[in-house]
Amino acid sequence: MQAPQTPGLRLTHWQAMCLFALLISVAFGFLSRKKPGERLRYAIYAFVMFLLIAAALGWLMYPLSH
Amino acid sequence: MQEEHSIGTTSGEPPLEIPPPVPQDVPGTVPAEEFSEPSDLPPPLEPQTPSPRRPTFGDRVKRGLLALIVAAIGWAIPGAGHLVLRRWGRAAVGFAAVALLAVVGMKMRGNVFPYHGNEPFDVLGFVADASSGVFYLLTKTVEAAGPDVAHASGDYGTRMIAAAGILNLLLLIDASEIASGQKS
Repeated sequence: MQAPQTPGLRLTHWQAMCLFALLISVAFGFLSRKKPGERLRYAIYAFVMFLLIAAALGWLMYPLSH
Repeated sequence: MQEEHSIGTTSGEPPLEIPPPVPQDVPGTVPAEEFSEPSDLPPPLEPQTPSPRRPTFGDRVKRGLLALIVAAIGWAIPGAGHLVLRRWGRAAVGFAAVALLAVVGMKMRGNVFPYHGNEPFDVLGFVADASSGVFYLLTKTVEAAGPDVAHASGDYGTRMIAAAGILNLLLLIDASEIASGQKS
């Protein structure tokens, strides 16, 4: 019997990137810092850096797709 | 006292006086007069806390075994290694992050690499996926339809499942370092 073909969860690239960056940033914050304030600051910093670097890499690769 | 040290004579001469014995320095004893006089020695040091005991071979073996056990538990169930070490925050956040990444990746119908991979990237993919422990075994339960990488969403899901495994590797390395004493 064939498994039902469901479309599955559909996320855009932006949504998937934000979710990925959020989860990894929070985990990094908890793993690398001890105090709650430092954890929050590091998580925010890592999240923003994830998004900025991803956007920068996207623009760098833009000419290759044309 | 004086009589004790004098010897009487019978010829009328004054008695011979014998000086009192000079105290001799006996090794290991302190002369009596030095007890009352101030000493030139520096004052005694304040009592200090005892220095930590150097770990023995047995201690290191025990810590190594604990680190291995914690790593194995942390691999099987993400965050459980920190749970054993009573690091509640890291355990909760680690489990939540790995679980969400793995489940969302599977729901997006990402590819889970099987054990029998022929190409190096397939083997690396398997190592990354299998590092998520119990979530690797629950792949078919979470998404029965299987992978669909024809869509971009499925491709993102593949990366998320791999990221969940790599994040769990980081978690268990952190937990085993704490257990072995290399990290506080």
